Amino acid sequence: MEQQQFSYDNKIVKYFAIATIFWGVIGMVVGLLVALQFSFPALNFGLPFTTFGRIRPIHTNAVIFAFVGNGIFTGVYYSMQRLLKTRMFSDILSKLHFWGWQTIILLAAVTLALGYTVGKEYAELEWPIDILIAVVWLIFGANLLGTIAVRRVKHMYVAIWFFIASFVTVALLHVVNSIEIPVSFWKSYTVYAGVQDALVQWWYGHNAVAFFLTTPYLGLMYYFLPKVANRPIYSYKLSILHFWSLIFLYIWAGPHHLLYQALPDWAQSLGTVFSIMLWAPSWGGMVNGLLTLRGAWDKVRDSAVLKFFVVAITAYGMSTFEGPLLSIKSINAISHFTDWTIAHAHIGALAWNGFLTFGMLYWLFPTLFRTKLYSEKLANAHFWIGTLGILLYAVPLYWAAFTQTLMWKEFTKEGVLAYPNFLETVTQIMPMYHTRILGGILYLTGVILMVYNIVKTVKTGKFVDNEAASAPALALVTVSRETGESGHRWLERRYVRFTLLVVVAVAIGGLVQIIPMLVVKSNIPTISSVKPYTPLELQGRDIYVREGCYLCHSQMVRPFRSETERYGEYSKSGEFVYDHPFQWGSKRTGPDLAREGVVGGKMYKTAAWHFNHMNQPQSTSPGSIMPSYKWLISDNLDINSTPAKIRVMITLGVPYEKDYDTKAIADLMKQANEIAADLKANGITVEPQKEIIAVIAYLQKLGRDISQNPASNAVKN
Amino acid sequence: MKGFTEYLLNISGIDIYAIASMLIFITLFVGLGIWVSRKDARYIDEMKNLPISSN
Repeated sequence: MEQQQFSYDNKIVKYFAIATIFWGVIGMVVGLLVALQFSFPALNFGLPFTTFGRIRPIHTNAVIFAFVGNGIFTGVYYSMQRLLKTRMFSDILSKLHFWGWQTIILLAAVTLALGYTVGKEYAELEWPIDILIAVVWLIFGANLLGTIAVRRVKHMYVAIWFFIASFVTVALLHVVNSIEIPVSFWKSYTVYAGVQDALVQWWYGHNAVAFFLTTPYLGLMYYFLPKVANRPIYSYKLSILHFWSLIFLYIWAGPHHLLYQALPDWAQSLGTVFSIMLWAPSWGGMVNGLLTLRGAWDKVRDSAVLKFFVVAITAYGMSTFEGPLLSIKSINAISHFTDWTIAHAHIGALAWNGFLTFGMLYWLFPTLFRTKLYSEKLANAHFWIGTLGILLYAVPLYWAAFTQTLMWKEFTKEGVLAYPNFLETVTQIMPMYHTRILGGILYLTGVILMVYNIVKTVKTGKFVDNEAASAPALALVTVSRETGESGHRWLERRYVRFTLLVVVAVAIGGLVQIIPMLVVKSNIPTISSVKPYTPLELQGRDIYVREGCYLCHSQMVRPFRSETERYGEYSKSGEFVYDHPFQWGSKRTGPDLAREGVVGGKMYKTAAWHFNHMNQPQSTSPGSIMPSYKWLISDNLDINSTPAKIRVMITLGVPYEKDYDTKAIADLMKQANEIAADLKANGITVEPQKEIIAVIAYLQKLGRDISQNPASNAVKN
Repeated sequence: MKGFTEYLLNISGIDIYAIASMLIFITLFVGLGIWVSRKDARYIDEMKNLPISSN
């Protein structure tokens, strides 16, 4: 067979690796700031751009899409070329992919700080960036599949299957979840409403964890672990089982994020059952990784890289054990809305993604620069400091979660809530929040050691942009199955068909979940007294979304006595039919707001209270860690955007009367004047066109409709 | 939530989803088991060593 000469593109690998480190440091520094803001609210700096509600999405987006994203691409571009014995399909596509992705990250950081957000967790970016993400992702996909097409190896190694599945599924998730109707260049409304939006969002959210944070990293594990340990994966057959069962099962499990919420029981059960089934493939994968090191544990003692890998794979096992556990309804009843979720997510992010990335980088830089790591000792120090950091981060949060959830649910002998003031349950866990900061500082310190170590390594080495390689040309591959060739082997050669099969595998689970929801649309029990938002309430809601209020306040009273006693009537699906997007939230750092507007209810607050609270939360709630939202009082509402917003809402099927957009501003001002007059009567003078007025209108709408006329609340089709 | 479930139950043939889900699941795993068990050792060996032999 003719031996062909070619070269590997190492430059693009280097670029992505540097970007991984750069954004990793930024994402973690912002994370540390977020943690500090819990303990020291003054660190919100009194500015909209630096306040928790805007900083938190910057942290999550930076870690997930910038740090882990670039980490994925580093590993993919390095391993694909070697596994397929070819250069990447197109240097131009590689560059477009790199610079496109970095542009998206920059745009994300700026727009999130400015408050341009769709208001859906991990999918916050507005529509122009969503389109850019889709384009750049397709460029990546074209390069990925193109490289497979020009390969010199007959079959695709299992790592590449994971890459294909990640590409296909993330594309699907992103497009389906991001369907929005623009109001202006930086404002849009999602087409889904309420329950549907929640279901689509958590189908996305859950599978973003699966296909962005898990499957591509499993691909990296299947390549880099054997490579570094210099021994093949323990069982290749197990890896095939791991792959197909994982990608098939994962996609069904999304509704486990919405247990006990206003979601049909069948969807909740589906989510639970498939989550529990996920135990098997996940642990199969972990065992496969760890057993690869059987008989070679002495290497782990000597190699910082393998130490990072071992902890990463173990954390994968722990996280995927904990995930299904959290999706059991009785456990979820305890864990949901608490810091347990945050701890769980960080075991995944810090240990699984973080440590696997660090291991990969410690191996990759010396390899790319043809030298030795500057200091193995420093790398080992990083490992131990990082491990301690993870423990100090997670353990206090588990403790905080248990403490708080028990306080929420505790009743006195007389049968009333033992801690009726939500704030008490927060001040109780403050020491845990302080300790968590220490965990974050340690983890970040480790990363800074790594940066120093890598810079020193790079200085001693010599980088080659194009690494020469040679391999025999691939004999013309026949389309049909060869004699004696099994079905799967044939499939691996036919990568287009393989990709299509992956699409089918993930689509089945997705469709089973989505189709009944679409069918059910017309069957969602509407509640006749629930009316669309008034123009002022709609504007107030948009400010609520802009400021990321949902990151600390849920709008979902679960059907537990401890919740109905604290907040009021439990939430019904029919209440959310006009909510684009839904704002149920996933964490309660502050109390639930679903019944905030029920006059005479447990949660009701006057306009004057809201005004004082937004101006200085501690004035109404001593000890509160909520930041001040002073600018809502000084900033004018963009009243002129109202007609366009109403028009989009009408397009989305919200039943405003015909031509209501022309009357909306007049109605808005009328309601604003009423609230301003109410404030004035209570000694507060504020102009009606200020943003605070709209926010008050929105908060006083929450839950009001279903409480107003109980007789008309009969559920109707 | 109870009310909601009843509405779903009223959709004609909604139970097909539960049955279909189960059938799809069982078929997939039985098929997968057969697939994997029929792999030949030489191929598995070749694939296993790809990351190590590749440079």
